[in-house]
Amino acid sequence: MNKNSFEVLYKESAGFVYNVALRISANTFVAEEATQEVFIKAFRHASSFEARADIKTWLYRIAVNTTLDITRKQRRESGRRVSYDEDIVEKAGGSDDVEKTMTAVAARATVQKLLDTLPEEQKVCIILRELEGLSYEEIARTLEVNINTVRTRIKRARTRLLEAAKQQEGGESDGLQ
Amino acid sequence: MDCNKIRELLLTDYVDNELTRSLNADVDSHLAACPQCAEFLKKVKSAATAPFEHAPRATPPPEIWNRIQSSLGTTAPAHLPRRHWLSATHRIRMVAFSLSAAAMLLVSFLYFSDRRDSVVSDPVLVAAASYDWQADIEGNGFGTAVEEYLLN
Repeated sequence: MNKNSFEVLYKESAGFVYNVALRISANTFVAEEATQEVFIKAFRHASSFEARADIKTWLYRIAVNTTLDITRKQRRESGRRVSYDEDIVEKAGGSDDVEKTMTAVAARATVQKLLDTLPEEQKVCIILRELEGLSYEEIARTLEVNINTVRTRIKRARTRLLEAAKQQEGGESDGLQ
Repeated sequence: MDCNKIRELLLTDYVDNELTRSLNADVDSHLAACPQCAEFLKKVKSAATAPFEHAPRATPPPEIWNRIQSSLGTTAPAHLPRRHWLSATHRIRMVAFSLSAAAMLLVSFLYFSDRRDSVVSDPVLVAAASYDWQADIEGNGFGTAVEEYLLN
């Protein structure tokens, strides 16, 4: 793979790699580090995956695994942690359209709050399904698990989200009484 | 299908459009006849799928590409063997080669130092060592005294 075709690959794929990493980690620092690492791995292993038809699946897999690795490492080095909101708000400071950016930040924070109620493996499945639009078959290939495992994880994740919403409703109605 | 089976599908394949057309039609028929399952579907959508619709996507900062480029500037291209991958096998070969070379040098040194001692004590070679080669080339030929010694 020459540098031009590598640049094309980066431009086409950096968006989803970065977003998956950002959603899993909830941390822009980790998302940037993971994206960088994914593409360096892609360049180094170009000869092994260039002939493959499922480069996108391969990139999703490397993105998920790399982000989880960095996140676990980061948890051990707690000093490096930067919270999602603080980091995003800090970056929004340089934007021309602060209001628009803050709305996006709020929406992102809402989604992130829901995702963070889920265990890691369910969270990854929901990210790939809901935010990346992958089919069950594609998620199964990405995570190298059985399609029924994907189905079970998604069912459990949504059940958990339903319960969280029910609890929130209960809390809100308790507050009104 | 009973409500439990339907609700399992509502949590997964139905909302994700993973059902076959006929199974999807079966679920639709059930929903039309069962208000509890229809209500359950509403809750699934509002709590578990709707919040993710139109979720904003972040743009990767340009610094990432710059960092990748500078990193790859010092990285071997993909088609070339990777240094650290080769090092394991090459290290053994390099050690073996170095030991062989050192052994050969040692043997050569001992052999020639021994020969040099014998040259010094050998009157013919003492004479050869002090022989005026330039004068001989110009005069009677080249290396005759040494050749005679070695042939005898």
